[in-house]
Amino acid sequence: MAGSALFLALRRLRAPILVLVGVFALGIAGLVLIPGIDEQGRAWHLTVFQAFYFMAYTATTIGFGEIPRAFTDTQRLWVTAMIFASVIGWAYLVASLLALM
Amino acid sequence: MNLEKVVFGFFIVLAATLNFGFVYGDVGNPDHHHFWEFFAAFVVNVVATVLKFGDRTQVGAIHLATSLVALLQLAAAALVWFFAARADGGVLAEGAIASIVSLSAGALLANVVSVAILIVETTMQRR
Repeated sequence: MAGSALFLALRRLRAPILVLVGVFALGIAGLVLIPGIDEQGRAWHLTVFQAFYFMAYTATTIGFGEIPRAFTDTQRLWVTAMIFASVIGWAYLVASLLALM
Repeated sequence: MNLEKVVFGFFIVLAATLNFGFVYGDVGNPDHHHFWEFFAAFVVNVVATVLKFGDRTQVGAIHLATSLVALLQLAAAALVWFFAARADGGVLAEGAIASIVSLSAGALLANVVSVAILIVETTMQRR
C-alpha cells in the first residue's frame, strides 16, 4: 500500500525532521525576542511569521535579505548561529531524503 | 527503563499539557492566552507527531491520526492568528482570540485522546 510506504519513509526521516523543527523553533524564538533598532532609535520586533520566513530562506541558502529593516549586530550574531544550524539541518534532511530513493 | 519510551511519553504528555495551559481561561480574554505558550504547544505537537511516524500497529495508526488532527487544528488557529494580527502587529482583532482558543480547544481534545491511547497501549504491555 502506497500509504504505508510513505509513513515508513517518514519514520526514517524522523531525526532530520526533528533537528529541523528544533532549529526553526529556536531560530524563530530568538529572532522574535531580540529587538531591532529603527532609524529613529526605537525598538522593533519581528513578527513570528517574518521570523519563520527568514528562517525558511536562510535554511535553504536563498538569503533574500534582512526584513523588514536592517538588523542590529545582536540580531546578526543570532542569525550567524542560525545560518550554520539551519543550513546543516536542511542539508541533513535533503541528504536523508535522497538516500531513501 | 527504556529511554526511548520515556522521551515518547514525555513529548506526548507535554503536547497535551501545553495545549491545555494555553486554552485554559476565559475564551474571549486575550490576557488569559499567552502567545509563547501557543508557540510551544505548536512546536511540541509537531515533535510528538514526528515521533509517532512509522508504527505499524493498528494502535499506532490511530495514535498518529490523533496527532495529525491536533496539528491541523493548531495550524488553523495559527492561521487565524496570522490574519488577525496583520493590522498593526499588537492588538488582535475582536473575536479573533475566541476563534484561536476554540480551535486550540479542539486540538486539546485530540491530544487528550492521544494521551488516553498512550495509557492504554502502555497498560496492554505486561513487561
